[in-house]
Amino acid sequence: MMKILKHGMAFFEAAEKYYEWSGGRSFCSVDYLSNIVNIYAMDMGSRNLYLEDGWYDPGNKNAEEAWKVFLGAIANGFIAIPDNFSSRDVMTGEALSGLGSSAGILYYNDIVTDDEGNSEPMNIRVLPVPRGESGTSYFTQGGVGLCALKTTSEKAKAAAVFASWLLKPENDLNLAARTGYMPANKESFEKISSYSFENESYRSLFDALNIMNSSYSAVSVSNDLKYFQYSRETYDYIRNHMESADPDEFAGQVWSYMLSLRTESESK
Amino acid sequence: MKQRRFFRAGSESSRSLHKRLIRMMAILLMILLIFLVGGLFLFHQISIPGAVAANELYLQEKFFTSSMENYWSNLAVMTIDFSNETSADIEQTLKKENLSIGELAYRNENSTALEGKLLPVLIQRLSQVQCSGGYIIFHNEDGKETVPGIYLKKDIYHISNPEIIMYRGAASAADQSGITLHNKWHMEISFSSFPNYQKYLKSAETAETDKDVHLSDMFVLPGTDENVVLITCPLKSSEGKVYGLCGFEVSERYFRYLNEQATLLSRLICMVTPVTDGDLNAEKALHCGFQYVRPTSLLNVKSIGNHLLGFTNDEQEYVGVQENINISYANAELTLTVMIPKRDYDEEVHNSIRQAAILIVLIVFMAVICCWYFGERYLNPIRKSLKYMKEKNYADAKVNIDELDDLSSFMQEQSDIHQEQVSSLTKDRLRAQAEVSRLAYERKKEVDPAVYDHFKEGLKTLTAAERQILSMIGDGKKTKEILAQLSISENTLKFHLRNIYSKLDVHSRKEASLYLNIYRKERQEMAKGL
Repeated sequence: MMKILKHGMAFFEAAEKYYEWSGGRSFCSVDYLSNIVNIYAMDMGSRNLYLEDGWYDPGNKNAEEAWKVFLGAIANGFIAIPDNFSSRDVMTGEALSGLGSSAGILYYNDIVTDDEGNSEPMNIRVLPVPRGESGTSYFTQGGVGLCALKTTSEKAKAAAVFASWLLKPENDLNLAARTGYMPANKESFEKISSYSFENESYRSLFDALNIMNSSYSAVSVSNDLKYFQYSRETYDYIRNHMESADPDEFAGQVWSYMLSLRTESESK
Repeated sequence: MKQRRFFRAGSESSRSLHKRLIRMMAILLMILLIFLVGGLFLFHQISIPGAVAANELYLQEKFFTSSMENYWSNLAVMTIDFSNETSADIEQTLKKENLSIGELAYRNENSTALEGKLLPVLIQRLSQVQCSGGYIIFHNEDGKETVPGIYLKKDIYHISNPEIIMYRGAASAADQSGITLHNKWHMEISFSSFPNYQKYLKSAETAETDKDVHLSDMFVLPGTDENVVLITCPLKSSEGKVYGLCGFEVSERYFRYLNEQATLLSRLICMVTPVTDGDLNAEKALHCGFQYVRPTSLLNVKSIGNHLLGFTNDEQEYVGVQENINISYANAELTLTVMIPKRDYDEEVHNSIRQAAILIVLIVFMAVICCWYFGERYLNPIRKSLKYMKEKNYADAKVNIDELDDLSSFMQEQSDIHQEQVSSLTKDRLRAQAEVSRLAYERKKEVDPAVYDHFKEGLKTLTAAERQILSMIGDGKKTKEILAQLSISENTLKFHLRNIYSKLDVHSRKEASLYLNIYRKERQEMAKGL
């Protein structure tokens, strides 16, 4: 089953088969849906998905197509968009897998418990993000930085000492290996393959990250606040409207809603 | 004794005005210094080294004790109240559904439905109570390892408006209430990981609810790295049937965020531990404070004086105070420890010594400068006045100091009187000399010129001793005076006199004196004439 995930369309075929096999459970619960949708659109040949205001270009047919493919799968129940994070759907057995941030591994449990209280151990395996159908390999890269409030020179010095300590290769390595965040310097990234992990699932995470680091192209996540605001509103809309909709109709409805966000914002 | 000698020496020995003033000022300075330092000490402006830190620690400890008594007592009261409300809800549900508590001891539709009903109650309680989590755990009579129940936690990273997450309980119930699952969520509660589960249930069978509140030791919450303590109260029906346990959780992190201490100290560590008389197990302590790193192991405790305690292990040293408190409802006795790193304490001690030393040096320096300056200002006119008085320049000796000016005037008057007397005496002497000259002239007329010539010739033949004796006779000296002045015997004098009389051809001392004075007068007149 893992092999067919190498291509985007196989992902949806597998999702449909799992849905049918499991009696209605989702194959994958997807965090930050727009990330994977954008990669899919880029695989179809688009580069600039947004207008200057940071939200989707209504004339970009690839973006529209990509969204409609994923929205259709969501409406069919093949993939899920979680209320909170995909790890919740996985730990309750409502989804077989999750697609999200590397640091999301922190939120994965060691068991799966279904509604009836039946539990079984969870054997987490982390795989690279699916490659595009046309052979492109993208992954979105985001991250956080450190910031400190401007207070006293003493605290500024303390903040600098902390940042310096955190970025030392051994500390950076420990932090990455225990949280799932990407290492911040090359030296620790190189050492991570020989790191003694307490949990083997973390090793598979960094194996996947290594593959992506060497053979994928990183795409920056938009840092436009409007993009995040509209994305959140879109996810809420999807959650609230997917129950009773026809998949194709639902996809078109959501895309129209997404485009209307700009108009509503301008009219305000 | 030395002091007395010092004062006596100051008053008895002869010293210059300057030295006397310096000595008196030095004594004054010492007295002032003693009173000043005493006053500063009395009004707590300067203190015994370490006293400031000690006082600050006592103050922090009083504040922390008061705060903890309120916190734990309130938590116990809220736990009892929560227990009463939840027990009533369970009893009502069991009656309504015609169920026994045994049917809720394993996962089924009824236990899940009951959890769904109790979940909002617990969520509401968590919004009211200062705790990091809360739980309801049902009674397990079958000896199963896991039992249904609810265990909710607060996301303490947003302490002012924390999100509630489900650590244990039915996911469907969490969905209904719109709360998310903890990343280490399990559906059931494993009572083996719940501290004293069986003991508390046994206690619940006999004890009254409001007397049966327990505070657990600290333990690591399964699946997490969180240290927590639980405050627990039984769930019982109105007839005394035990349904299970409920209560609240206080995590180490939450306690730290909630109880950050306001302090003037640069660092402060406050700890709550089960009561201890010996070593302090810092790893099992709830802790809070200000800008601190918690101690990491067992701390040896010993008194270091000044009502302070020293806390040490292989790597760390602290100074602080301890107090035991009773939490009446929870039947627990806690030890509260408030401490600071010993390095901070030592720094405060050194600072207070340095400050006191600088203060004293400054005071002494200023006092010496002031003594010197005002001493000079005081002494200079006196010195000047005395100098002019010594030179008898009484007019310039006036320096606008009443006593000295009076003295100067007095001495001026005395000088004038003396001058008048000298002048009068001089006049008298001149008058007497004139009288002598007149008398000598008168006598000369009575003298035989041949005898007088012979006398003058005889003078050349006199020896030095004879000349001296003759001169003294001429001056009117008595025999005793001549004998005493020349240190000669009477016989010797008589011998010299016979020779003098023989050589000068005179017959008595009176005759010799007369001729000599005439001779002297004659010589004086001759000298004047020259």
